Amino acid sequence: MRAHSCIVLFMLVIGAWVSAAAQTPASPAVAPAPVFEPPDTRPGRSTRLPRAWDGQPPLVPHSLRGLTPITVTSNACVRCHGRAGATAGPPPAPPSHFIDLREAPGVARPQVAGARWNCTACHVPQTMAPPLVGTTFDGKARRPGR
Amino acid sequence: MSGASRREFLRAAAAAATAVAAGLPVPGRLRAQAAQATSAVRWDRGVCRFCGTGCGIQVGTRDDRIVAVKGDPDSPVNRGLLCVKGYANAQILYGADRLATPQLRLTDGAYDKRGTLTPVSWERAFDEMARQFTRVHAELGPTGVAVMGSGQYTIQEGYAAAKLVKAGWRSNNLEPNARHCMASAVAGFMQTFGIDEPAGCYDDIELTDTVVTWGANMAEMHPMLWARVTAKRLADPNYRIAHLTTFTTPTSAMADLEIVIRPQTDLAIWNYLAREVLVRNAVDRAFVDQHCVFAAGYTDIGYGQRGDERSMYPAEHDTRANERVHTLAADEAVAQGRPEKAGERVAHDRRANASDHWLITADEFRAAVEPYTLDFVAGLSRGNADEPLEAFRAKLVQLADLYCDRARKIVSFWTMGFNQSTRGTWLNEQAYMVHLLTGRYAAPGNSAFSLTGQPSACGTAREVGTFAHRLPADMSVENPADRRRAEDLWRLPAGTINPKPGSHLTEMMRDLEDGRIKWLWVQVTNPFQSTANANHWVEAARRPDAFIVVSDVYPGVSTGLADLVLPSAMIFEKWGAYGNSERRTQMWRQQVRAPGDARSDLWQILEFSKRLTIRDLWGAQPVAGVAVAGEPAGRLPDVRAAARTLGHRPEATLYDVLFATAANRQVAWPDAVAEDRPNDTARHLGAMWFPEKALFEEYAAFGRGHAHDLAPFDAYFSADVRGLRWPVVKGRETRWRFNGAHDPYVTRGSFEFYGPAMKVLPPGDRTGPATAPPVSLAGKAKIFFRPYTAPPEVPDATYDLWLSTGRVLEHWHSGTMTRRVPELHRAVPAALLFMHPDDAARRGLARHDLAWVASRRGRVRLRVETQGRYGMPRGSVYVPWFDEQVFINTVTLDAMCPISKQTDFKKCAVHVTKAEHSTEG
Repeated sequence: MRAHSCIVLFMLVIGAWVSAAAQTPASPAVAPAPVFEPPDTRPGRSTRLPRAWDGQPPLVPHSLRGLTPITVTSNACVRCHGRAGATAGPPPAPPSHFIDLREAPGVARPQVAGARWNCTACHVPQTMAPPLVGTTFDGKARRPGR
Repeated sequence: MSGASRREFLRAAAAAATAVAAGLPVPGRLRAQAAQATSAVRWDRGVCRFCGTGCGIQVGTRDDRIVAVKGDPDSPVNRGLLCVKGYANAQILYGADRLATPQLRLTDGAYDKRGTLTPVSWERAFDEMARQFTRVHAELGPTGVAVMGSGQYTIQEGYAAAKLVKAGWRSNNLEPNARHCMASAVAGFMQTFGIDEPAGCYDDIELTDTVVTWGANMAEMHPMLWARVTAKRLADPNYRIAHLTTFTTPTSAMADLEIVIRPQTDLAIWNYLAREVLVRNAVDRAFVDQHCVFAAGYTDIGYGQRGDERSMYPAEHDTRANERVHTLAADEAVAQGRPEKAGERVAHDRRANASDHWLITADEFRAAVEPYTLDFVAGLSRGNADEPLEAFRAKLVQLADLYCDRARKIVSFWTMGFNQSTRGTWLNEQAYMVHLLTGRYAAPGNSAFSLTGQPSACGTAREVGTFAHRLPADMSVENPADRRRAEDLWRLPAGTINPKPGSHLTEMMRDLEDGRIKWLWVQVTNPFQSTANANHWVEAARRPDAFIVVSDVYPGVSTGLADLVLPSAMIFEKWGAYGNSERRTQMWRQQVRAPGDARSDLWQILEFSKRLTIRDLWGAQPVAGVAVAGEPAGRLPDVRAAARTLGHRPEATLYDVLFATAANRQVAWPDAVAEDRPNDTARHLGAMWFPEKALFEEYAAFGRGHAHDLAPFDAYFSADVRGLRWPVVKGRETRWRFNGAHDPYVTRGSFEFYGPAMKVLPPGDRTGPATAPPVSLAGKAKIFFRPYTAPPEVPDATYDLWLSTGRVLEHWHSGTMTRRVPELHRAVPAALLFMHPDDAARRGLARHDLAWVASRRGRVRLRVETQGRYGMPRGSVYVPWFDEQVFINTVTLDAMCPISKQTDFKKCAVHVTKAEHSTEG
């Protein structure tokens, strides 16, 4: 709620700010955001983050420092999570990730599908930033991996 | 416009709507289903709310709430995949502060510009909106009122807005935020091909073996297209990716060739490529001879800034002075074939006819690109001073190898780094220049493609024509035949449509500042955050005589400046259609009800139109500068008598005349295509007709038979259809336009560039047109020569760094939706100042320190990031614009391409200092 009031404050500030704008163009004097970084948690030492709804791509519970960028020849995510059907160790990508829905739908392959190679397009790490505004979204998430 | 009768009508309409809601026309089966739905998730097709890719999604609904989203495995666009933003399509509806009631600035119950935003009824809201409209219209005429719309308008919303503003108000002051996003692509298409929108499609990604991105960070901005590029790159060892950019981005990581260039020098690199194509004999002579001509235009066209000193901050003086005259730098002089003029003052005396162009000979073209040697261009364009010149030269040669290798197919993609440029139109034309010279355009795997930023920048802004100069299906208000055709289709009296284009988006802001526009309605956009040089416009919005209406879904900068806030329904709370970058039109059904009193933007347009009569708007109207035959200068004719002969009574409202027409009322609601889903636009309108279907079919009449054919409304809901790429002729979509093997509009030969606009031109040379008679170039495309020019503001001793702005993957535009999704907000909670560690250190800044970024126009305070996903070369900084607390558009410069009027958000000069006494907020 603290951050919510920040937005409200911003709107109030606009009113005062514009009157002065003719002389001194400057932005509203809202307090700058503090520093938020993903927790410096190494892979393997973190616990899974809850999903907001069934089917939400899992969030990355650990830091990506040193693990990105993903290139043609190097993909640290896949090194750990790319073992189809693994039962121990890092959670494996689900069976869907081993099927190329464009070129060969229905065929499970040993490697993660190329279209899913850029893992961070869907799976993002999380800072501890408090929400700016609350949400009324309720996905009634059940256990993942449906 | 009698208030009492309107209120009675509204009450009657509301009663009718209640009856509908109570279930009178709804079969019992539906109620049974609704009861069942309390447990099961019901899935239906939708389209992503965000970028121009147009990913197909499946929307899961339970108990009148969207509860889940997944990628549609049957969508050819994204085959079941979505990016992290796409997965947020459900959550964006449910921020705790959704606007759910109209709010008007009131003091003691009366409207007061200085009053407090106070909840009011829709009736009270529309009463004040109409009263203020009437006041301003009486004072200033049709040009005193304006609508700022959006590339996120549904097709139907954009069409209704266009009809209301152009036919109803006889104003052309309708502009989409898409002006900031792809106007340069439009102008490039129109000038090169005589018709808008790309020849190719996304299939080219799989069909090519070479992808070059120009100012396009596809990995973040079009992630699901980048997934397709990546998949091909991993599968095919011969596939090559080159990325031209001003700093290292996540797209660089997948590229075989990353070329970091100095801002604005893409203009020079294209000409180097054209020269190489000629020198290496890589020209497709047959293609060029049969299908192309060479063209050139004026160079001294300015930068689209105000040409005067009005409302100027003192520090703005020098940049604005460059608008009329500037000192020609040595490299510019060489690039423009006038080396003897280096250091001279050059007047921009072609600002008023920047888009004029004419034919030149092939020899003249060859001479024009001759100065763009490898030595010259490498010296000019190297963007990273830490990269050895030899290494940079080698990269340019490798790039030329790709474009000159006749065994390769090649796709050039570009986005905002290209379109948002003071020479954005030229850059588009230069891309076509190289693709046409090598005969690699409009064919499978060979494409030059502008990726749109917004979900319906193509479908709505461009195809419907929500620009100040446009009518539907590429027609122009300036063309008498086009106006007549629109008047016929709309059953308007001849002479109703105003032949003078309205103000472009930034010009509207300037008009607001100058008091030339005093009534503004903003829909589906946040222009006071998204328009460059925003301090001016924030101040303008608070002028006592300006009335600002903002329809939105969440509070933001623009609602904070509004005098009336109208709560809007979001994407799946209404019916709609979007058109994506590859001409694919996709539709969705309303899935859930909007919260509180939130209503669709279409309903708002239609309902407001009930408050305006043709008696008040279709009399003679003042429009400065307009010239209509038989009328005094500066006046639109009185068309009310002619309207009466068409059967329109003087007291008829714009709703009667424009929207609830006899034909539209035939399109009945409820409709089987709904499969029992609701339509709250119809319900709140009290209409027994289907507005979204009726207006779509009415709009489609403009394009059918005119190379813009859309399929029938219901076809888009067929079980096996995931959108269709127009022109859809005899039920078949078109993948490659202008290509005889694919496009039914090609009448002869293997290629025909049949676009009709600007196809009769005089001959000339590089300096100007000759007096010889113009010639027709029907069926041909133009290969333009466009020179390198410097931007209007470059780093100097005081403002010593380049500033570029843009997006990040996790946030959409001004962040009002995505910052309310907890996972997206936690991923990227604030805009940061990305800079080179040495640039930071030199200013006493360490990572995460607070810094001021200041330009001649404004300043913001934010935290420094020297690591992270962007690698900045020395001398350049990057700030994303999603964060309203880091209001970076108060810093940016409102210079633009003088042809397209699209702002250059990628280049201005700033200085960065440490912010002292910083506290954790």
